[in-house]
Amino acid sequence: MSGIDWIVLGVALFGIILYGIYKSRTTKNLDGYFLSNRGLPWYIVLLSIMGTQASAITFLSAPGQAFTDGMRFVQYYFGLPLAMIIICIVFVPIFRRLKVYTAYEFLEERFDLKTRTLTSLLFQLSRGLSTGISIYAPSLILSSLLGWNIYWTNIIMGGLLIIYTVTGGARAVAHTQKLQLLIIIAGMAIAGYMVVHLLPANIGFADALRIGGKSGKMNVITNGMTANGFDWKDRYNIWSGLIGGLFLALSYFGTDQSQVGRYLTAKDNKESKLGLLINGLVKVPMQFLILMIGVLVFSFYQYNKAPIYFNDVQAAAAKSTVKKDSLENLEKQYTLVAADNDSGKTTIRNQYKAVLKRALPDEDVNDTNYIFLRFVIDHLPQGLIGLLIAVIFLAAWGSIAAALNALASCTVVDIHKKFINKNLTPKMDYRISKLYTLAWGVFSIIVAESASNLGNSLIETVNILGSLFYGVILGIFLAAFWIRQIKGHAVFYSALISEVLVILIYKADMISFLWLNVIGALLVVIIAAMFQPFFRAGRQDKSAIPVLEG
Amino acid sequence: MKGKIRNLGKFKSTAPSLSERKGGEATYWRNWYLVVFAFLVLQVILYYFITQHFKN
Repeated sequence: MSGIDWIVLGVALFGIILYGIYKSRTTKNLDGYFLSNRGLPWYIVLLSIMGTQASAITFLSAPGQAFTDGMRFVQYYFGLPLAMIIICIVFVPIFRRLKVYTAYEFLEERFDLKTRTLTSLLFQLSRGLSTGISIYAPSLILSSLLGWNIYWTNIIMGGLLIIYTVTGGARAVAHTQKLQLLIIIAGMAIAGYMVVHLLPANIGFADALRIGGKSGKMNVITNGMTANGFDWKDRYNIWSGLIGGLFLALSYFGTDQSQVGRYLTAKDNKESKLGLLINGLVKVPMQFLILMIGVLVFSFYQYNKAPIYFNDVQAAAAKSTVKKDSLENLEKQYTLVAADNDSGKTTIRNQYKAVLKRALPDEDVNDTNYIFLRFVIDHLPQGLIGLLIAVIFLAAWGSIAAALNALASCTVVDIHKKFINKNLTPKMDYRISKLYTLAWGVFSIIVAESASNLGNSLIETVNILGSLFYGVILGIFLAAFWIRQIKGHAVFYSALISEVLVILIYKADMISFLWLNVIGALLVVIIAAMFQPFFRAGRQDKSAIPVLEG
Repeated sequence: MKGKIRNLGKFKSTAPSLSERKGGEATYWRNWYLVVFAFLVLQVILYYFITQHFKN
């Protein structure tokens, strides 16, 4: 990285921290700290929702995904607009009417305290771990490509944002996300333009897409059908996207406090709904455009020699083993293949990965996440490299800050004020909220630092971890909203059993992880309905409180 | 003050009643949901044609 890159990176990061501190003025109580006094307009809510969802891996991984597997990854988001509609009809009015701080408070109103606590703890466990990985994953990629120390990268990735997240709470999080997203969009748009600009003079944008299309990269819609019928293990097709993606988005936006906390900061029902619905309009096209950058990078490498493997550090580590000769032999073969011979290059790349896996059996040899940044570092001009590395940091900060705010709100509202000290003054609430935000920040960094010792296959494991819990959490909420007859005991025990079953199904490797969301949700509802006759409704009947109204 | 109240009494409001407003709000949101749904359908159709176009 050149001096200009360091300056651009430094200005972007410190600019955001200072802006976050500047926007930290908030009333010193729970409403101010966790919900920004429920006073934000829809466009801030929209940018905050988008900034929370789009992590660093979104911008690193999506172009690489299109490079290797084509555009079909966009189908993963097809369920999202439908989920936005359902959340506006069902979830938003109830959460706002009950004036909750966390989504799980509603479950105590509807069921009982133990169901609320179980669901909140499931959320805190999965979100706490995945936040640590949200720090570790981009740090690993940056440290590998730029030779940075992984421990310090983790601390900068997860530590600096704690300053404004602790001081300013939800208000600072929302306002910094607004600025972060604008920088991210500008950075990605410039990157897209630069890829086309770097193509040979006689090759334009449409030609680049045609080249990608010839190699099957423009496979935006796929149906998952094979000669043997529907492939349930196929991750991205229109059906898994619409159905699995719908359930995933419903769980994420309806029951994950890091998103619920964003739209609860809105001024009123209308502003919450507008933020969510416009997110439903813009999210799919935005992902389409990010993926298209990957196809353009693919076309670029038809005219320029692509690395045989995009993670240099891992390749160097493998070469220090007995597989050195095999790897170097494949590298020689690769240099002899013509740049536009895609199938020839892919065959050698796959052979290279197979040898790497034998050399480093404990490591993940998938270099998809490295492709885009490798391209940026190797081919973009000075200054722009700094900007795009800043984009990675800012994308990570947006989602991590929202997660820390959400985790702290759940620990304070669902645990501390319920079980440890019920009689806190607003000032004490505020102080304890800041302490828990700091504690979750430190916890996430510790998870990130521990992950460094476990190899990078952990990234995928923890991504899947979300799907193991989301379905069950969604099932509890669906039972709460739609099935009046189901009460606390039935839903609590069915959630425990469903969680075990989902983990067993995952272990059996029968199905792609997106479907676990559907299965988890349906299992909770079905088992709870079966259990309900065995529990007397008695005093736990609170069904008068929420169940569906406009 | 009294005079003002009397004048207000003569004033025939053109604002919609509460029930009309509620109905209007429901229509407003229904239109939003339709727009979001229709935009998704249009995108899927567009992406299908993009897939077919670049296949050849």
